[in-house]
Amino acid sequence: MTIGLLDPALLMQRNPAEVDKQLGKVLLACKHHNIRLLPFTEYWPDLWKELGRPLEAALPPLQRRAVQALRNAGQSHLGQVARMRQQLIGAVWKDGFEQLFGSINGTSWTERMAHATLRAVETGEHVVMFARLLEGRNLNRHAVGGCTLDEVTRWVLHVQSPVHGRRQVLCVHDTRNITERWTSRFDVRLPPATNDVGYPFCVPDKWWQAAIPAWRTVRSKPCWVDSLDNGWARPNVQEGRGNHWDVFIQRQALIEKIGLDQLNIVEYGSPEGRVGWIHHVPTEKQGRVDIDRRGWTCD
Amino acid sequence: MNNSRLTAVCIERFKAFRDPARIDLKPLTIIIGRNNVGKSTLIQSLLLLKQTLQNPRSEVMLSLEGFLDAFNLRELTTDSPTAEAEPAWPVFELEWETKVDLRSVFSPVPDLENLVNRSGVKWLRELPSERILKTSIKLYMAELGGATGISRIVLKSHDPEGPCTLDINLEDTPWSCWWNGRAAPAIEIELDHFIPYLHIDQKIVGPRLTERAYYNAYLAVFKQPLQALQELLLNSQYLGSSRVPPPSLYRAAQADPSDIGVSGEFAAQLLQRRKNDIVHFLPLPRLADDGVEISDTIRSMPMVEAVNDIMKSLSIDAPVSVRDIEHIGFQLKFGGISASHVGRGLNHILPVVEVGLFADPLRFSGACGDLPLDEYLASCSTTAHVLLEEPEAHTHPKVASRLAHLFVSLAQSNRRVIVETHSDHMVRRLRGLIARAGANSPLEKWLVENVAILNVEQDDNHHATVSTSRLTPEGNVSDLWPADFMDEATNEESAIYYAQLEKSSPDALADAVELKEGAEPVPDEAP
Repeated sequence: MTIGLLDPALLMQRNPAEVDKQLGKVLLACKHHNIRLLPFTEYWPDLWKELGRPLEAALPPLQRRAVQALRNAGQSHLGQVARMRQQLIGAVWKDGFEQLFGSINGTSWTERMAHATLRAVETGEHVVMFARLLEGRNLNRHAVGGCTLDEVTRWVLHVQSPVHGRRQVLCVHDTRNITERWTSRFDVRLPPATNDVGYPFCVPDKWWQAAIPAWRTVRSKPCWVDSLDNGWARPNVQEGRGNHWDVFIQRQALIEKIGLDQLNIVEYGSPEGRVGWIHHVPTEKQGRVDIDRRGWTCD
Repeated sequence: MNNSRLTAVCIERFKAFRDPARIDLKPLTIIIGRNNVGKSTLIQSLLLLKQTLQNPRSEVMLSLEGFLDAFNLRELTTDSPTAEAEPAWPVFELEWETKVDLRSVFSPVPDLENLVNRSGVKWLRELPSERILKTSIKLYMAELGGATGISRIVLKSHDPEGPCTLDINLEDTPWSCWWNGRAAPAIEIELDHFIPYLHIDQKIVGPRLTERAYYNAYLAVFKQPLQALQELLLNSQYLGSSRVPPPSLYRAAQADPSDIGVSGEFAAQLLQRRKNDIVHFLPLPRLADDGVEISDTIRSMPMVEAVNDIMKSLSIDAPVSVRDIEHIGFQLKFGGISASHVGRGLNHILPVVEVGLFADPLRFSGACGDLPLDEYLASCSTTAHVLLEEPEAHTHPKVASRLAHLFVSLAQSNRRVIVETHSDHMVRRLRGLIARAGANSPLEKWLVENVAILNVEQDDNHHATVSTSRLTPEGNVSDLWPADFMDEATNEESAIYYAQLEKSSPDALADAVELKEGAEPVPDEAP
């Protein structure tokens, strides 16, 4: 079992469709990955009193259901939480908590979330924080023309429990973050390094350490950078939409092996094409690359 | 003639429905709405026609005695006009589909080219052996000479390859008719209640005359559908929301009951007389961890076993049994206890289950055993229409929810079910079934295409309107969201929860949590 905690920002008032979509993702993640939203008294009652109630009142009936389902998902574990009331001892690193929870609608949730997180860690179970990506808080957006890169600036929280020692709590904003944890920092649309992918994004070693760079500018575009030094940029179309990545190959040996220094690779989740394989080759470059041949592996 | 089924009902100026209201009927039609908005009116329009056809005097065009009882037509007319006023009277229109057998309509076969050219029914040129026809009948009600009657009947055939209209004016003397707007004075009209039958004197109307062509077209296009409509309405099963309290001892019925009774009053006798006779039903859909399990096999078993099988699926664990007491009567028992001493819910639900089984087109025939659903459907020569008011009354929410499973299984097995309900549990479970059904699964597709949810509302002038929605694969309804029906319970849950929050204050504990300043750890292990 995994314990899930809710970022209070998930219950801030906003566009109803966005609420529905984001809370729906949380509910689905809980269902598919056996995650329990335990209603720790350190934050749960306040969460609903201060944020859930006005949000629910502001939503039209259909979108209100996601909020109600989320609340019910927690309420069903009330009995489990009631048995945990004992003095809480431990520490959290303030920076991460302050960054995420320092100001939610102008109110600090830092202490409450620190206590709730520590309480969850104390259970000895795995813990994740369902976090909402909010520009200026845990998200920086870089854009050059239509090419965009959403840099996640907080993907893990640090906690120290007297019983369980130092623990990292992953900040989850997409269901894929749970199965491929590196996507909590990198774009969830990057293709994974699996057997059926010919041109994978090779996740940098120790990707979770802040000192390891996740992105940089390559050929004037903001790019995710993998362990092969390839730069992965969104196509230069509106908001970086499109179903592929523009991959800039930096290493000469790899360029020679592939036959091109730039490829269009089908993104993860694309409704068209084969994920992690060549999406298309521009007419003038056709014949220089064997599109059915595996490009590289991450080993 | 095969599998006639009602596809739509339109009412106008009938009770609260002043403006024309069209109700498209599906195999499962659910009617919701607040109290006294006109939900029952939709079913009553069908009952009015059914009770008229049941009247032994065929000259009675509309009978106001029976399921729907009224002093006069004014009582049933919108805004109840006074005796002095000359109001616009109610209008009903029914649409239905019938598979007609055309092999024996004509003897001998007339000149089809002449028939087609004059009647406009182009598809008759090839004279197929059978065809599915969509027909409508529009009945203009009126008070004629102080009696309730019908002033005009308009029959339409909606076949795209030759639509045609037969308009009958009953205010003229003698009654007159028009075929596609052209008068046909040589055609005689006879009414069996409100069902018109045409006649011609073949000695006068020769084979190449226009009216002969109209008459022949009527034989092919309208005669069988009208007979089918008559049978359909007569055989429809209606079960209201009230029940007759069960006696401790029943008298044995002298003859087989032909229905369950408006208040389920014949349910016990029917079960007693038919307890060992075979009925067919589709097992109810079952919720599973990964969706919904549906059966494609019809079960055939003795009536009393079938009742108990379904009752168990509805989560009622009190098997019904009939104990005959020779020369006196019989006792009906639930789990060994007399029906007169069990909860009201059991006595309410038994007729609901029985009416569903009694509507089996193959009832009381065949042998025990399983039957593929396709084979069963192909064997059914009729489609039963079941009208239910508040079937969920007196039932536990769990049973009310599972009634949705029962109605789906009935509607999937050649019954057309119209349910008027106040049960949000039942409607929510319907939504739950489609939401749980796999994407693009047969059940999802069936529920999208075959369930209609009608929401009846009233405007400020107390005039009723109806809006029709479908279920969506996500478990929503397609058009208007009746928030006060669907969300009443969940909103109340929210209100209770937030009120609880206001009342409770968790014990303050002397927690010792340090918020560490400075650089965060740099762990070597992935999170």
